[in-house]
Amino acid sequence: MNLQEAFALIQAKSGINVTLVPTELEGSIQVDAANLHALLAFIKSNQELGFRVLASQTGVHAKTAEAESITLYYFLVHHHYHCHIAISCKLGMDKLEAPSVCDLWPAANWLERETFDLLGVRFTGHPNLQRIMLPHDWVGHPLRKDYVKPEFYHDTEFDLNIDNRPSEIAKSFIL
Amino acid sequence: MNQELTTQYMTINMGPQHPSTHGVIRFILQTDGEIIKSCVPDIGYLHRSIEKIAEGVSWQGFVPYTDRVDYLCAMNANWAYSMAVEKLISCEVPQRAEYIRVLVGELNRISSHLIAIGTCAMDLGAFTPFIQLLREREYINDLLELASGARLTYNYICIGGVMHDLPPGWLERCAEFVDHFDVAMEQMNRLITYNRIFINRMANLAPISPEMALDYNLVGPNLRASGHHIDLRRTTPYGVYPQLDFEVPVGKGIEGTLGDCYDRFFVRVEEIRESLKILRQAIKQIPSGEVQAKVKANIKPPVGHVYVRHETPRGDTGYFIESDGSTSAYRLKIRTGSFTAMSIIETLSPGAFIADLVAIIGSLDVVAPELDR
Repeated sequence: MNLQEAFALIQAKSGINVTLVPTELEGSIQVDAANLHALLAFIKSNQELGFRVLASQTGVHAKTAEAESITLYYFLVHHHYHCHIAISCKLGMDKLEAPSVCDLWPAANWLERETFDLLGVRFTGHPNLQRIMLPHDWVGHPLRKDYVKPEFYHDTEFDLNIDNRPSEIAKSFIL
Repeated sequence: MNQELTTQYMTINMGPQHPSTHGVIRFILQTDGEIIKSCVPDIGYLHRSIEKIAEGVSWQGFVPYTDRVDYLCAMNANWAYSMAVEKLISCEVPQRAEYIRVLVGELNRISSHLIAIGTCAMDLGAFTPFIQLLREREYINDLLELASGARLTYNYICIGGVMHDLPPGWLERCAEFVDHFDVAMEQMNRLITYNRIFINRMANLAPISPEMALDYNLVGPNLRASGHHIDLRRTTPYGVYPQLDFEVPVGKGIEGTLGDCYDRFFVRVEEIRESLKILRQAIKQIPSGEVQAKVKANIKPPVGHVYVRHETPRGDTGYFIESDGSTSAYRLKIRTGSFTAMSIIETLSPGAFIADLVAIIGSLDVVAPELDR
């Protein structure tokens, strides 16, 4: 089953407002944050679709001069593992909140924690929404485009002016 | 004496520096005597921001970083990333390069599984098999060094093919190794796989039901040990795998419950046999010709995203790449097998002994750098 067929089936049967986002490469099925949980629950339970497994979950921070947003992606794999589809959900920077899907897939627990840690999206209803990769007292979300490296962490100074020029020995190897 | 005796739980910190966690992982255990009441894995000690680095380097420049994602199967990591970029730019890989990829990829799969089963046995106290398996792994390292020039982080498979052709005489040496390794595997199986003490230790321990395996999105050998006939080399064939004949070994609960620690161990042993089968066929079938497609130095893929899945020794590794049409990735996300394998430990371990936790980690084959990225 490809994305178009899945989209047609979801539109006909689920009663949830979805849009197809085609690109030159792989497209995705877009839904707004309010309907995200309902849509994923529908897809998981629908035998005809068969996308039973949550393979990956991530987000993309897009920032241009005019607009800024974070798009969440959910990759669902068919239970025969021969195909996958992407569900996307665009969040504005003023309301970075999405419903957690931990109740549907336990695998979402850590994936959502990672997205929260690195991109700063809050998942409502998550049982343990804490940082997972970075220390608990870290400031900022590194995978955002406007992230600035900290100068200090506790008492350690990050040397941001590392000399990258090749040393004398390295120069002798350059032809 | 109706009143039940209650004891206080003890909190034990296992790791970050612990010989059986194979890398820097920490577990916070609540124990009642020897029995684990709860286990919370604490990860992130090896986080190297590889996904952030990808946004700053060129498409080709990221290949060496994928070596460091999972150093036990660096070839497969190179391959997975190259496949993703090739899909982005719609690049056709020459036949000979595809066969070389299969050869080095399967060799690397064997060496990764050798470490997995060797360390699993070592954690349970059987030290000899580990040393024997490392000796066999040296032959594979030699072969991969001949091909790529490196022993651990190869940077051999590149976008559009492989870096350079195999050296003369390599295929003969590989064929010699396959014949030699058949005998070595028999020795190894007599020593550990069919060892009654080892079987009794591993059987019926921490079984994962087929449903639970799907819910937690276990992949690769861990998923197959729970009885699922799922191998991406079969279900979504890539490269030249459709032309190669091999079986997909699955767990059957031969010594106890379906999906227990022994099943996960045994599936890996079986997979080594299948990899040898693939190697034999690939050595016979490999054609001559080019090993690299013409790829521009400045790759500028179209705007959009791809999600590519690849079967590494630790299972379905997914590379999600978002491209904005520039010379580096806009966002890259690596979804690895160890990440979900680690998250299931929280559910598996309550009720087990502390010593069993070591067996569970070993049988799930968790590699810390891949977990944290």
